[in-house]
Parts: sequence; structure tokens; C-alpha cells
Amino acid sequence: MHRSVVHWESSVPPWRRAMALLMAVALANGCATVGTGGSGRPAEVPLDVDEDVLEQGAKAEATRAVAQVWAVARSVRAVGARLSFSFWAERGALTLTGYAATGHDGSVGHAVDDEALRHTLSTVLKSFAQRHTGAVEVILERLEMGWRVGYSRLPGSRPLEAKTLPVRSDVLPLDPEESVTEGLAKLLKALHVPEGAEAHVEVAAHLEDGRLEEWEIERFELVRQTTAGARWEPTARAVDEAASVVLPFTEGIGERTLRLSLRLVSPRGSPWMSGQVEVARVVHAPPPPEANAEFVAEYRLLVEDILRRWREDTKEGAKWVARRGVEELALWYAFGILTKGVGWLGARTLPTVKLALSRGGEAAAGWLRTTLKRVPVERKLAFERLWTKAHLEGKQALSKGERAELRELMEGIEQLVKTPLDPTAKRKLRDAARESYKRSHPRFAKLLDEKSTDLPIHHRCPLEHAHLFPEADINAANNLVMVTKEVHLRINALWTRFRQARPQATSQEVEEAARIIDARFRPWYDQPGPPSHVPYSSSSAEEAALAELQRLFPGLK
Amino acid sequence: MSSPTELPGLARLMEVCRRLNVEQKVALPGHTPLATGTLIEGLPLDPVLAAVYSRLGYAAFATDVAGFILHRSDDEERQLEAKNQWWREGYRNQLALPTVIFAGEPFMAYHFATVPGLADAQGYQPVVWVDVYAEPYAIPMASNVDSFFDVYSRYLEALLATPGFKKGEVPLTFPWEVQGLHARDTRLVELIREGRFDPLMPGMEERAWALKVVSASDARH
Repeated sequence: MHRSVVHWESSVPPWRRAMALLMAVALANGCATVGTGGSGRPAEVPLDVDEDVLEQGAKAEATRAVAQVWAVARSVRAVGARLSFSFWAERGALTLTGYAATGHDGSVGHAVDDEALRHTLSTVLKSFAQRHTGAVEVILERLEMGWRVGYSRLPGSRPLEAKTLPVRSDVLPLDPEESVTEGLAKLLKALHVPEGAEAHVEVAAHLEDGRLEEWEIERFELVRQTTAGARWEPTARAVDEAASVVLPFTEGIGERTLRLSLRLVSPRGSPWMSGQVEVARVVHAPPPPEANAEFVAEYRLLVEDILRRWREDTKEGAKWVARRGVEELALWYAFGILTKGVGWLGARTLPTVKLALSRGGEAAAGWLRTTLKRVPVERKLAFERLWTKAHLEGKQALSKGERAELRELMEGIEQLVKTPLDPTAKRKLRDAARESYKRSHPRFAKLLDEKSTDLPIHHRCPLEHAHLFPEADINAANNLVMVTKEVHLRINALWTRFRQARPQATSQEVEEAARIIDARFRPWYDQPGPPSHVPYSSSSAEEAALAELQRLFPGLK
Repeated sequence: MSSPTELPGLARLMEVCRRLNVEQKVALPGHTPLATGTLIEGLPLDPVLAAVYSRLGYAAFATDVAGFILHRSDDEERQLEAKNQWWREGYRNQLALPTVIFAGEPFMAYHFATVPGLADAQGYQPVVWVDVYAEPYAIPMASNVDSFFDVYSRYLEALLATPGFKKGEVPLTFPWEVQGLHARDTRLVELIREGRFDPLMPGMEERAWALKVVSASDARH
């Protein structure tokens, strides 16, 4: 484990501290583990993020981090108090991942000027975060006349909530300060500690991106009891101090729980209860069992990209999302809906939607893309607008009317996928199938453009039967094959006979028919011309498939 | 039977493509353009289509947003004839009325065709849209080729004005979501009312579409 520690005191002139720091930062390089957030994939930089953007972002990140650290430290006057802030640093982005405080019982030191400390912190954090990827622990030790600041690099891989790109904004949207302070005040008010007693409290704060969704008291224990009867409420200062520890954690990404260990003390003779956060750490719930690691990692990258744009400029960020729509951001919508569920909308259970999205990854994203192609454009736009709001601003941000609209939309989708495709939908899906096939088979893209109608894209399970497989993406890559128009004609003729014999075919019958047709025509799939080394013609393939279909489905002519 | 001298629908389509800044490619006509009545795989060439080929040898309209391609017939290539040979050998007989295909949607198996058997007194043939993805069927588009250009130009205007429109996505589907535009063609509506296209529309969905055109026409008057 590499651990370099740099110390200095705030009585040293700022320019000398800055120089020393830069040198120290330059020396301490290359030892942190570049984590992948469990994804197995390094974070990618979007094309529109250049050096200037990163520089501006790093500056803004350091500004915010310094303000947050100072907000915690400014009221600490106990000599010997030690505050530890653990950050994950990457490309200038700083994400607070842990906090610990000790030594609050020391003698009271002098009030100190904060400027020197802030300057030093700014230099440390900006330089480190720009030059290194990894965890860094910034330690503040309270002296009689100031602060001693040190930092050390820590081992470890990127935590799930860590940002990988800096956010170019000195203030983040939907500043949660008020809600955090209010929530904590309410919570701590319920925890009466008798005069002269001391309590240990474990609190869980459930976060989603920058929003604090819920508070929960997990443990309350009086560690020093008294017989005194008076019970005091926490001071506003205790609440503010605890809030100042919680707030920086809201810069992280994704759903997570912040666990706080608080010490609450009611000194004898004082009408108020004081308190400090001793430890704060982030824990992650495991992802939904249906979501595989790759799905989670891809979703995580998308969330960060969207959130970063939105945090930098809420209007532009929302416009960016709207421009891409469900076509490009299907994964973001799909995973978001899966994790949020629809119960909060008051919607009936939507088993097909749930099953389809549970498949995760491209299967879920593709299903959503395909399904929304069937929805009238104004409803698709409403779907995007409402889910975007729910994802970025939280479920609570949706009005009663918006919830009702979204509920109706989701229930409509559940029904729609069980309904046969109409001609408009078929046409849209055929368009999309061709484009999708070209993307998944780039070697044929040019040929498909040149040959146009000569090489149709065939749905192995035909669009006519899509409603029998409502949880499947009919335009999924494994359902699309390129065939020549002659082969398409033959296959279509077989399906026409099948439909005439089985107008109310079951999904199992359709699967059987598809299996027979696939078996006979597979050599012609994804071939721009007749396949070589096939000892029979397409006409023989058609005859053989027909004979098999007739055996299986009596009455088929 | 003579070709029209004016093609206002074609002129409008070209103007709309320019105004909306969508792709438009045209080629000069051949030195010996196809004449009215020329037999294309045994069927007479429509006089309006002959007038078109006397002005253009090939055209592709709005293929960057949706669009269609007029089959080439000029000194370079006789694609119209070749496509119709393929058509006759494949799908043509699967439709109840003989048709001449003259245009298609890029990369899709949707075709535009004239129906010689339904020509009016001037010999102008109505246009149908043919889907051959499964069992082939056709739905009526316009009372003649120039009216088809007109209706398509209006579709492009509506498409680009649709909320949420962006290139690469087609939020308004031709012809399924634009019955109101076809309802402007009174001669077409008359033909639908008379049931002249019925043999080409064996399924419920295409018949429902035609009924919507008639309803939209009634609502206009």
C-alpha cells in the first residue's frame, strides 16, 4: 500500500504551502488503483469534453469541496480534534466517500481565520484531483491557533457513487441544504437525551443522485445514563453541523445509503443537547437481482453523463436528454423504471413491463425502444418528459396530475404490447429493423443501401405474431436476418399458409413454425446471394418446410 | 389519350423539398423518354407518368427524412422496365389488379404503382401504395401520379412540423397516419366510395384506412 502523508500548518504563508503541495502532489503519483466501479470497464470521456472543460470543471469541483470541508471545520474549536475527509478523485472530479471525526473533547482553541486553510485545501484538492485517479484522505487537525492539514493517498477501487468527470458549476441544482437540515432537525428532535447523558445514534440517509429521499434511525443507545429527569432537544448548531457533513455526500451518483454515527451529549446544567457526526460512510444496496453487472455499469455511465450535464445547466441538460430521447437513452429509462418500479404511481402491477425490463441490458433497452415506436408521438414525448423528471428530480417532483398521466401511460404500454401490431406500427418497426440490422452487421450496411428492396430484413418471428411474445423485443438482433427477396417471398408464402390454417395461433405454435422455417432456410440467412455448399435449392427448402408444417399443423394447405 | 402539359403536384413537391431543406436529387430525361401508352411488361404506361419522364429521368425526394425514389428511365438505365419485369415475375399476380410500379421507398419493400385498369376518361391511372412484406395488398394513394406528388409534398410539410420530429425518426407515418391529406383528392375519394380499389384491399386494416379517407373527406365538406 502506498501512503504518502504531507503536513503543514496554516501559519505557513500560502504561497509556500502551495509550492510545497504541488511538489508533494507531483511526487505522489501512480499508485492508486483505477477502479471501475465494479463494471470491469474504465469510464469513457464524452466527445464534447475537452481539456478546457476538464480544467474549468476541476476548478469548480475544488471550490465546492473546499466550501464543504470548511462548512464542517469552521465550528470546530476543540484543540486536538481530527477531521478526516476521504475523496475519490478522477479527472478533477471529487466525490466525498467517507468522513470521520475524533477528539471533540479537547480544550477550546482560538477562533481562526479560514482563508489560509481554504487556500491550502483548494490547492491540494484541485492539483491532486486533476493529476491522479484514486482515493485521497484529507486530514485536518485542530491546533490552538489554526489547523494542520495533511493528506494521504489510499488504496482501493472506484466506489460506485464516485464521479468520473468534474461538474462545471459552483452551485448544484436542487440544493438539498434546506431539506437535509429540516430532515435532520426533525429526526434529532425525536431523540431526547436526558441531561447529563450521552447517546450513540446510527442514522441511515437514503440518497438517490443528489436527492435525500428518506431518513431512518437504525440504532439509539444511551451510553452514559443519568437519573436526571430533564430531556433536552438538540441545538440548531448540532443540526447544522450534522447537515454540513451530510451535504457533500449528495454530490455522488446513484442510489445509496449514507450511514451516520452520531454522538449526542446533554451536558449537565445546559438546556441544549450538542452532537457531532463521528463517522459517515456510504453503503450500496445490491442491484436488482435481474440486472447484470454490465447493464448496471453501462447504466451508471449514462446516469453520470446525464446528471453532469443537468447539474451544469438544468435547462440545457434537460434539452440534451430530450434531443436524444428514448432512442439513444433507452438504457437509462429502462433501468430507472426497473429500479423505481411503478408501484409509487399507484399503477396496477405491470407484469409484462417488469419482465421485459428485468432482462436487462440491450434486451431491456431494445424492448423499450421498440415498444415506444408503437406509441403515438405525443405520448412518447410525455413518457420521456415524465420519466426524465422522475429520474433527475425525484419521484416526489411529479405533481398529482403528472403521476396520473404517467400511470395511464405505463398501464397503456402493458396493454399495447399484448395487442397485434397495426400497419403503422409494422411500418415503423420495419424501418427500425433495417437500421438496427445495419448497425449490428456493418459489413452489409453499404450493400443494404445499394440493393435497397432486393435484400429485405426478415423477422424470424413475424411482426404479425409479436403480441404473442409481449415481453420480447420483436426487433431484437437475434430475430432479424437479411435474406434475398426471392427467399423472403418463399418464407412469406409459408407464413401465409400457416396463418390461414391457424388464424388464432398460440405462441407455442408460432415458435414451432419459426423453428421449422429456420431449420430449412438457415443457410440463406444473412447471405446477400445463394449460399454455396448447400445441397438443395430454396425451392426444395420451401417444399420441405411446407411438408413439415403440414405434418405438425393438420389442415395447412 | 395525351400527357398533361402541366404538373403542378411535381412542381409543388420540388418547391417543398427546397423550402424544407430536405434532399432532392433529379436527373435529366433521356433523349427518347417513354411515350404514353408504351407497354411496360404488357401494361400501358400512364400519360401523367410519361409526362414526368419527359421532364426527369430519375428523382429521389426527401430520402433523408422518409421519401421515395422514382425508378430511373433515361439514357443511362432503364430501371423502370427492369423493376417491372421483376414485379411481373414475383408479386404482380398476387394482387387482384395489374399494376405498374414506378417508385419505391428507400430500403423498404413498399412500392408506388399505377393501376391501368382503373384509368379515367383521360387515361390517367390512379396510384396505390403496395406492401409486399407479408401477403401483398395495396391502398389507394391518389387519383393520378401528379396528385400523388401533391399529397406527398403535403405529407412532408406535416412530418417536419410534427412535435418530436428529428432526422432518423419518422413520427408521422406515410400513408397510415395522413388520411386527411388523401381526402383532399375528390376523384380518389369517389373511386374509394365506388369500391374500385376493393379487390386490392383484402384485409380489414387497409379497408379501415380507406374508410378513414372517406370520413375525412366528409368532414371537409
